[in-house]
Amino acid sequence: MDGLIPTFQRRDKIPHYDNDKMPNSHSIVMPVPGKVIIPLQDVPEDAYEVFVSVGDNVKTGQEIGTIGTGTDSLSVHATVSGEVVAVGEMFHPLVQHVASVEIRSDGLDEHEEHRPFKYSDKTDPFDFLRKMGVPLEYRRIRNVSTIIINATEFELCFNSRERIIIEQGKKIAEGLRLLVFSTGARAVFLVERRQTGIIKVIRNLIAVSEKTEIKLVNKPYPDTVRELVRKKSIAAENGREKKRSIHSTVIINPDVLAAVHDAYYLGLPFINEFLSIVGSAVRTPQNLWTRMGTLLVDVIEFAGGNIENTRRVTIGGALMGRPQFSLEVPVIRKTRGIYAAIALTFQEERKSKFYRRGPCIRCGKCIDVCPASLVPNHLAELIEHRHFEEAEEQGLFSCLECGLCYYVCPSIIPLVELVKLGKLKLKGRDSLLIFNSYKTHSF
Amino acid sequence: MKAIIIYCSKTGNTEKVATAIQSGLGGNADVIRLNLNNDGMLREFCPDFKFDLAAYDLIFFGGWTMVMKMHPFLTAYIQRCENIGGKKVVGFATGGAIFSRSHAKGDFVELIEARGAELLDFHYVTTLLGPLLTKRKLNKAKNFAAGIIKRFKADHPAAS
Repeated sequence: MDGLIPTFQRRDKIPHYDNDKMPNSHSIVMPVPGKVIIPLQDVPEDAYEVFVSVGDNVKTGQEIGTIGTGTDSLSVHATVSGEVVAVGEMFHPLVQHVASVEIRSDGLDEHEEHRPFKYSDKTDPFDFLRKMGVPLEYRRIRNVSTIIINATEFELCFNSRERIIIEQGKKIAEGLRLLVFSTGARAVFLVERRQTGIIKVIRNLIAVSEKTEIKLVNKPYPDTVRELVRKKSIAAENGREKKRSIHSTVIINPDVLAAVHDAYYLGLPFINEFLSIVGSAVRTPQNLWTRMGTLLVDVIEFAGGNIENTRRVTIGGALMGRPQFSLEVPVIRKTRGIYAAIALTFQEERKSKFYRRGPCIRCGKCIDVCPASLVPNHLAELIEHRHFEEAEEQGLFSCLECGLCYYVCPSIIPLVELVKLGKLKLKGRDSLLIFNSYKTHSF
Repeated sequence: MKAIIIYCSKTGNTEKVATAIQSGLGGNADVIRLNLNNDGMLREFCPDFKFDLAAYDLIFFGGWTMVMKMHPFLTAYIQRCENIGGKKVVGFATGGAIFSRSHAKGDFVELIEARGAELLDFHYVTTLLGPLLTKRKLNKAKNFAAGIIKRFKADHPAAS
């Protein structure tokens, strides 16, 4: 709404870095919540198994079900001790409804003991990690040549990755050494040049092992790169694409490596999630250890949040996160952080002309910044005229949805929302969440 | 009597006027700065922030004039807040040109009437991006707030 400063000057300004303030504060362990919702599926089409029923008493760390069935399954553990209240379809932050288990805590937090890994048992280490619920790409990890550990922070407001490397560096090094030992692959830490705080820490960690190196990059990598690599590798396995080195690569987050260490040497199942909580609805931005399945209300309340006025909550950051329709959704695996803000909506006609949507002026800024080398303005135009198939030919599904094109667009065209819309239309689906903000513009 | 000052400021001029008004009220007023980004999200944590104005007797709305109207952040807040009906409302605005006064006031009156609140007074300060915001003008704003308090107490002897 600042009409005085011309558009090009505003674009040059560096965005607000919340994570510059955060690294100095130590992470906090959140107390056991009163209620958790633990999802048993990642998408509604997944197969799953449940081992508990309503009324059962469970202990912390007890296996309550599996994602997938048979040898291809990943165990899911109870994250609090208490009574199973409900089993069935419940809210999920990314896909609307999935099968979940709801547990009411009894406050005692009794742990079920698991044995650490022993070579004398003659079990496969990856089968053991599967039983412990550590989320790795088990189908491919035995045949990889490179393990990439993504320590870059794509979301400007979070710093959970930096923080976990500083606090649990030894565990991460041990977990990585284990993976390198059992796969025979080499490991590469991706670190941004800006992250001066952790470069030295990682150099110390990797000094002991030969096959590990550090790679300094200029720009951060988003999480969706992993999906792209996975899709390409599946295409290569089916013979649809040439095999290149990228196809034998897995990308792992540092917190998973710490979980590998915990499961392998201490016998602790994967029940904790490390996340940042930031935004104007929270008194102090901080990093938290939460139990998996904790409701967002509890997390925001613990961080000193202004619950009744919180109007916009995003799981996974301001750039690539998913806006939430309810605060009664659980924290799931791979939750990097929560962005909770107090928000107002204003009328379109009262907006400054700098913030109203204008026509595409073909400046090409979006093409310059696109990390997937797409032509976002052309894609958006095709989708706007409902030529979805042509958009797919132009590489619609290569879009990472990083949001950089929307950020630089001087005409405020909702490029990312249009691309998401096109993807959903091609899949034959429809989402209210994306339409709501889009309908304020013209279609 | 409980008062609240809600304002938005870009360069700091309206903030100065809001501070002057707060000192004119004797310091006992809650202050909310609407520091929003262009998506309408509040940038920083504000401890007093609330949409519910039921607890307040006197409400001050302030903002800078943009294209001869009250600022969109403030209008969005006025349209969104709750329990404002029947409350005493005071407006203040800063702007570059003196002739924006009547336009800004007209816009503000429209907004307040749409919500069913009662407008006590309106104060306009010419700043011209800062250089014209003198101490004299800030004192005037302070006296304006003090005068409002006197009028309010004369109307409501029970409120202390």
